[in-house]
Amino acid sequence: MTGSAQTPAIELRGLVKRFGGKTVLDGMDLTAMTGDSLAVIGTSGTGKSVSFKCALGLLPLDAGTVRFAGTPRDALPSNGPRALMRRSGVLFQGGALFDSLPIWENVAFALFHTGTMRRAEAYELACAKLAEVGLDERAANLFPSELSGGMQKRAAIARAVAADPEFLFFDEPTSGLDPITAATINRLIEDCVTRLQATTVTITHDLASARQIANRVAMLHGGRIVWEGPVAELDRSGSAHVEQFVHGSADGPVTGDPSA
Amino acid sequence: MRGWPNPLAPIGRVVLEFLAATGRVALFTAEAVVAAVRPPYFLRQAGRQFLEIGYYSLPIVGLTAIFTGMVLALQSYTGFSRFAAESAIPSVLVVSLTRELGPVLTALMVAGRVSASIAAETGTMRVTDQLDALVTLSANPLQYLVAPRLLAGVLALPPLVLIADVIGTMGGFLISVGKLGFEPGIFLNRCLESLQTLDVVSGLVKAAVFGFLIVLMGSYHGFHSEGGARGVGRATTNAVMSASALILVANYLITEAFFSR
Repeated sequence: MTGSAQTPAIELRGLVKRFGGKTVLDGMDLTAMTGDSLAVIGTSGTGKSVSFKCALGLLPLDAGTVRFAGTPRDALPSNGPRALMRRSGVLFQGGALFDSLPIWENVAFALFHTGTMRRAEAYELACAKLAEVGLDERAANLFPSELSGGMQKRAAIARAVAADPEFLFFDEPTSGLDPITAATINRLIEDCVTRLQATTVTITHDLASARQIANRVAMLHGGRIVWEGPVAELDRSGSAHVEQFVHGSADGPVTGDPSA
Repeated sequence: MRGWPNPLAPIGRVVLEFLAATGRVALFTAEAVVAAVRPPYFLRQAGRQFLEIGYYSLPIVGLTAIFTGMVLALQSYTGFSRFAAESAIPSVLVVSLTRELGPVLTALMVAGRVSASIAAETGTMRVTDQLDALVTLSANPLQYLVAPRLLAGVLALPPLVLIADVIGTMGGFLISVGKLGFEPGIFLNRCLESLQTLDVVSGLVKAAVFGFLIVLMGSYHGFHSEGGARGVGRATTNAVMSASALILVANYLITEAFFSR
């Protein structure tokens, strides 16, 4: 694994992102040390997913720096972003499985389509990864539209961890799932994170998910991180924002307008 | 105090938006062409797209071609019979089909089918994060999605146009022989005598260019769609409209290049 104990694995400094006249990220700072599992919580519309996409380079930043293992993403050589992606696994909110490919090709995509692995070998590996998330070979040959929402999430997790990445990003892994399926997905993510020892950032507004997956939690509000600490301190954070979020109260500094 | 609105302002806005859109399309085209010539090459994808664009367009292209040939024979007869020039019908039919009607009508039909399909598929991928997922899996969406389709479009349209030329001529032949009293052998001989290599070659060059434009417009509008189902619908409409308009403009330019004296 790259990076020493002193060098953060993932470091976001002063991220600013505007859409038209609306500032969504306003100097956001976030650090995840090697092996950390960090959950970023916040109300809907606070820019959690935007920060996730900015960190990965999927959205251009207006200002700020993103560093992976101490190297600024902008300073990577021309093939650097692609190499960085090879070291990262990403789970999108809706799964983002490719409709036109069967599940096994989705899971083995990075190894088979853009890597050097042979088709038969990739199929074997995809089936093994799917088995780890509780999907059998029959599911491997189905298309995404033929699976339930929970099964799609499992397949998307299998795809995210297929290449044994160093960095894992999960965007709302339990959104739209019933509590039992959500708990199963949380356990799967926890297992993957423990097994891979990957530095993990999870975007979520599901506190149960954050408590189960993460060892550290950060709260995003008004385009900045307003509190960050160990997950054990979530209930005694001393932050009015976090307390309101934890208790799900309508009264407090967090209003319906996420930028307020 | 606010003055009267400038009546030229709306025209200026339209011109600026047109120039900006032209620039965006030009940049996208350059990026797509560069992506197409650089490895990795997704040949399996290109094969799938060749089937999708070429093979599955055969029914609609064949139907369009046969009725076009039949109508052309009937209309030519109506006109030429006034001057006792019915014998020119085979020449007019075959030259019109190979130079203009075969390539243009085939391309317009394929634009309606393929541009719309590409824009809808790519647009849905955009709004469901599948394009971003491609990037996170170390794939360049232009290389994986656009390059194979461009290759397939450029390669699939010429054979489709050749088939349309043959079917269209057969349509004209059926009407001319069955209804207008032409001798089959004489009709076919006249067709072959009138046909020059340049007629066919110009039609095939047009077909390849039209194939490029059809895929380009579908991909461009799909890549830039936003705003959920409504945005995808808008992208699909814009793809078909812009592909059709560009086909007509390109047809004029290529005809000018080949046949202007």
